[in-house]
This record gives sequence, C-alpha cells and structure tokens, in this order.
Amino acid sequence: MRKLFLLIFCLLLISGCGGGRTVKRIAPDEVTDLSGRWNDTDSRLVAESMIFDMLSRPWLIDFEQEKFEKPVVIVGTVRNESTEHINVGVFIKDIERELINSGKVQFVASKGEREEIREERMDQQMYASIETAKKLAQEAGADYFLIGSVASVEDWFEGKKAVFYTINLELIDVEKNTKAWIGNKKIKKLIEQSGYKW
Amino acid sequence: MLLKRFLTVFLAVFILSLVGCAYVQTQVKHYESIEEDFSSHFYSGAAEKIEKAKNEGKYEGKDKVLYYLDMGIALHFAGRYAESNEFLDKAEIAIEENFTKSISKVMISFLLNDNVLDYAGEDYEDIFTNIIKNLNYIHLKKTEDAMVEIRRTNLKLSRLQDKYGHMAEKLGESKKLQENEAEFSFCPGETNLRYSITGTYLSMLGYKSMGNWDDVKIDRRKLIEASSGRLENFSGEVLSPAAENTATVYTLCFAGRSPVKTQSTLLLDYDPDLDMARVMLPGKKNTEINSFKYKGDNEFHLKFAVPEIVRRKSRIRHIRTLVNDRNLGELYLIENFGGIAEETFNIKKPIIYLRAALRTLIKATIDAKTKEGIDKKYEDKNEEGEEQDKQKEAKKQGKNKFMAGLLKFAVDAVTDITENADLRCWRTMPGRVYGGKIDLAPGEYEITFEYLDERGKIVDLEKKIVLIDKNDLNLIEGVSYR
Repeated sequence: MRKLFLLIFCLLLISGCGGGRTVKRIAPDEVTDLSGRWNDTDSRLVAESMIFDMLSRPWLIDFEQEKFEKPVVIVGTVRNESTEHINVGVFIKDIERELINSGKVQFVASKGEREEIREERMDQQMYASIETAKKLAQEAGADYFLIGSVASVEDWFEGKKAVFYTINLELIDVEKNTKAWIGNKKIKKLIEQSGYKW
Repeated sequence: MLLKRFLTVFLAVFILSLVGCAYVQTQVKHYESIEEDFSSHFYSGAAEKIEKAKNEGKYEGKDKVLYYLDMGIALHFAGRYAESNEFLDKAEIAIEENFTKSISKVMISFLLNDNVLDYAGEDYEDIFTNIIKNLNYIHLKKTEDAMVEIRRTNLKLSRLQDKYGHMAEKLGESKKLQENEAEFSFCPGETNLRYSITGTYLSMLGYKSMGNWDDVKIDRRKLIEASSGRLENFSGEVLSPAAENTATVYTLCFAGRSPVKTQSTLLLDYDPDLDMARVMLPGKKNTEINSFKYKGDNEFHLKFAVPEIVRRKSRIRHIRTLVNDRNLGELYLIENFGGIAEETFNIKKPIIYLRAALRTLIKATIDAKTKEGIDKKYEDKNEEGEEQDKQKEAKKQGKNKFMAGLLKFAVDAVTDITENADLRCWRTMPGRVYGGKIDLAPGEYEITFEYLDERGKIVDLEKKIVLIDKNDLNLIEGVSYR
C-alpha cells in the first residue's frame, strides 16, 4: 500500500512539474518553426525568392530597352486565401523591401501611404513656404502593378499534418492590362504532433 | 503499526483534499451566476465573473480550454469581437495541443478519475469556435479573415469525415465480428457528426458574398444532405436574389442553452458479517437503497460514476423578426446543438464507461486489499491479546475494532471522494440556431427579435438599430439564453 501511495504522490508531483520561462535573443533571420504555421521566415524567404525571380525575367530588360528608365512598380493587394490568419502586411513589406533594395525598379508608395502623403502635400500648399512646398500632380505613375494571393491546402491525420502553401504573384502592365510576369512559390511543411507526452 | 496505516490513509485523504476538488470533481457552481448574466443579456458582467472565477482557481490549467471558450462567447455576445477572437484563438490552439495526451495524467486518471485529464473540447465545440470567430470577423467587417474561419470550419469538417468514416469502417468490421459470434465488442454509434449545419450555412453565405458560386452550390448540397432535406427550401430562399433596389439581410439567432453532463452514480457495499450487499443510486430524485442477500469472503465497497448527457429546458420555441415594428415572419430552425452533443457523447460513451469500469475495478481491488490488511492486523492483535487477562483483552479488542472501523471508513472515503464523472463541457454555448433572410432597401432600421414560447407569448426581446448597406454582408445576430 505504501508503494501505491508513493506512486500516486510521484505521479501527482510529475504531472504538476513544469519548466520555467527562458528568454534568449536570436538573430531576426534565424529560422524559428514553432507551431508550423506561416511565420516571418516564410514571409521573408518567399519575398526574396519571388522578387529575385521577377527581376531576372525578360519584362525588365524589355522595358529598359524601350523606355531607357527603370520601371515604376506598385504593390497592390495580396489576398489571404489560406486557412490561417496571415499578416499579409508583413509579407507586402518584405516584397517592397526586396524590390527597393534591388535597385532595378522605382517604387511608388502604396494606396494608403499615397493618400497620407497627398494630405500632407495639400497641407503644405496652405501652411508651408512657397520655396519648400511640394508641387501637386507631380507623382510618378506606376508602370506595373503587383498583386497576389497566398493559399494553403492542409491534410491531417492522427497527429500528422501536411501544409502546402502556394503563393502567386502577378505583375500587370497598368497601361496595357497585360500580365508581364507570373511567379509561383510553394512551401510544404510536415508537422508531427506526438500522441503522448510524459 | 495500525496507527501508521491510519495516518497513511488519512494523509492520502488530506493530500487529495489539498490537491483540490477541481482535480477530482468538475466545478460547476460558479456557472450559476454566470449563466444568470447570460440569460439577462449582461454579457460583459458574465465575462467579468468568468475572469473572477479563473482568479479564484475555478478554471484549473487542465480546464483552460473551457476558460477560453467561456470568455470567447461572453465577449462575442458583449460585442467585444476582437477580444472574443483573442480568447477563441487561444482555445483553438489549446484544443490542438491537447491532442497530445499526458501519460502521467492518464495513469492518475485510472487512480482518481477523468477530471484530472486536460479538457480537449468536443468536436462540435471546436467547430463552433470557428463559427463564432467567423461571426466576429463579419461584425468587424474583415471579410477575408471571416473567410479564413470558413475555410478552417470546412477543413475541420473534412477531418471529421475522415475520423468518423474510419470509425464507421471499424463499426462495419465489428458488426461482421458480431455476426461471427464474437463475444465482446465496443462499437461507436453511427453518426452524422461530420456535418456542421451552421458552419456549412455560414460558409454558403460567405461564398455567396464573394461571388464564388461553385462553392455556394457545394455548400448547399452539403446543407441539404446534412439536414436530410429539411433545409432544401430554406437554402433556396436564402440564395434567391434580393429584390430590386434592396440589399439582402441575413438574420441569425441563437436560443436556449447547450446540453450538459450530469453524474450517474452507483454505490455497491458488501459486509460479510451481515451477509448483505447494498446498492445505492444517489443523485437520483428518489434515492434508492436496495439490499440483497449475498455470501462472500471479503468486504468491499465500490463506486461507479459515469456522465450522462441532459438537454436543458428552454422556453423559446419560435423567433419572430420585426423591422420597424412590422412583422416579417418567423426564423427557420437551422441546427439544434443538443442532438450533436448527444451524438458525440453516445460515440464516446462505451469508452467512457469502459474506463470508469476499469477504474472502479482498480479502486475496489485496492479497497478490498486494504481492508483485508486492516482485518489481518486486527486479528494479529487478537492473538497478542490471548496472553492478557479477559478485561484487558476486551478493552483492547474494542479499541482495535474502533480503529479498524475508522480505517475502513477512511478507505471508503478515499474511494468515494476520488470517483467522480467528468462533467466538463462548454456550458455557455447556446442550444439552437435559427436563420432567416429579408430584403431591405439600404438605410437605418430598428430590428426586433421576439423570442416566443409554445403559446406564442414573448419570453425575451431584443432590439437593434442597424445600418443596411448594399455592399455589406448584412448579418444581424441575436441571442437569448432563456
């Protein structure tokens, strides 16, 4: 009997045991796959590889040869068609960063940002000095519009989950409404969850 | 030695009481006032009470899913949609994490009861989480996020299709075995659980608002199949185009409360000195105590506690919609969660009962062995007593008998305290869902939901000022827990 009570006591003790919290600083580009969901690493890697692909395609050379200048690109909507709440804002920022840092294209601010800047410009017409106030109707019009979507397919059975993300980006010629480039990136993750723990 | 044993048993009882009732018993007392607030539409007050109950230890770590679900639904009905989503997100993650079972807790559950296990939520509760999150995002006008919840609902439903399809296969195999005169088999009941009518209905509305007509058709087909044709006309009506210069307004009302689990207990006692066995069924309205003649060698005491599912009464039978005091008819019953809860429970029932029987057997064996040990010790004392004079012997015998009785009582108390059914479920979930469709010209309206009893008397009433926009989904939600 004493052994039995000892066993119960030990089990209660074990079940009540839990590790404390530790915090460790890591590099922002370090891969951290914790839950298996879409994360910052996916966002960054997808943006890097897709923009690299986009900028290495013939549309860019064709444009430069025709217009003798860098094309002006704007990033539009990236729709979330997945089964996760993906912060597409982070993904769009990653795309914008890759585009600007490439130095191969000119980049215009997004719709929301443009509206804010226009307000500021209107304000300047009223309150700033004539020398420093920025002129109206001098915005650079975009040559290309980048839109996209993130979709996912999940398959799950008894603790094993396979998630397949497919990210599509399309570059559309604003003037002609023609598609200059279509890129696709796929990510597949296998998440295993043990049925038992101690 | 005897005193040592007594102290051991006493210590065990003491530790168990220290571990707390929450570990060996489902705590439901705190729900009384919370449910009162739900009934009187005071949802923020309910959320505060849930938080208070959590701080008072009414929601242990193992019950965190219930805490998140209760908070999520209280905040949803309080109109605090973003906060509600935060809690429901946590609930969903916790449900997913609880797929991993703790071996130590499973072992303890065989010595105590299923209340020590982490509550992983029922399948229908998990799906209802996404339904509420979907509604939250609709109210927050985040259509893309609402669609994520619809996709998650569909994903979970397809998982259930696999899960219960697999069970149905097993059932088929089991039936074959039974035909081949198999002596013993546990079969899950045949089920329709792979469908969530409400989830599919909202999915259909979501796809309709996005213009995805292929998905709308698929959902409608599922809806008709899941409701055995009951919702065919209703779904056709819902999908019909809005009249000219009007916008479609969808009304969705929750009514009543979801079923709960109650405990059924059986106590069995046998005393060889009396040659009598006693069966008690406490917890029933008419407490029955049946005694019968039985001749056995060892004294034993066992308690068998299992949960039963019980539907909670609701006075609401119909819901009427009034727009600017103009009666626009009654809403249509889309789904009764009571049936789903019962089905889910019936599937798990054989496993729950088998676990309870095994646990009872383990406890009864421990109980009998301990009492045997106590009796042996008691007899030992008698032998020692033979050398003493009669008066001293009688006094000592009396003392030993008292101690032995006390010890046996303590052993039975441990069995009784620890054996309880796991009654955990999402108690604040509504019981039924009703829907309807009206066409209104864009503008501001006063929409009234009248909750009626079977005689047509108003049981509850809700008034809402809503702005109808042609470009919105225009989903108006109501609830009454009465």
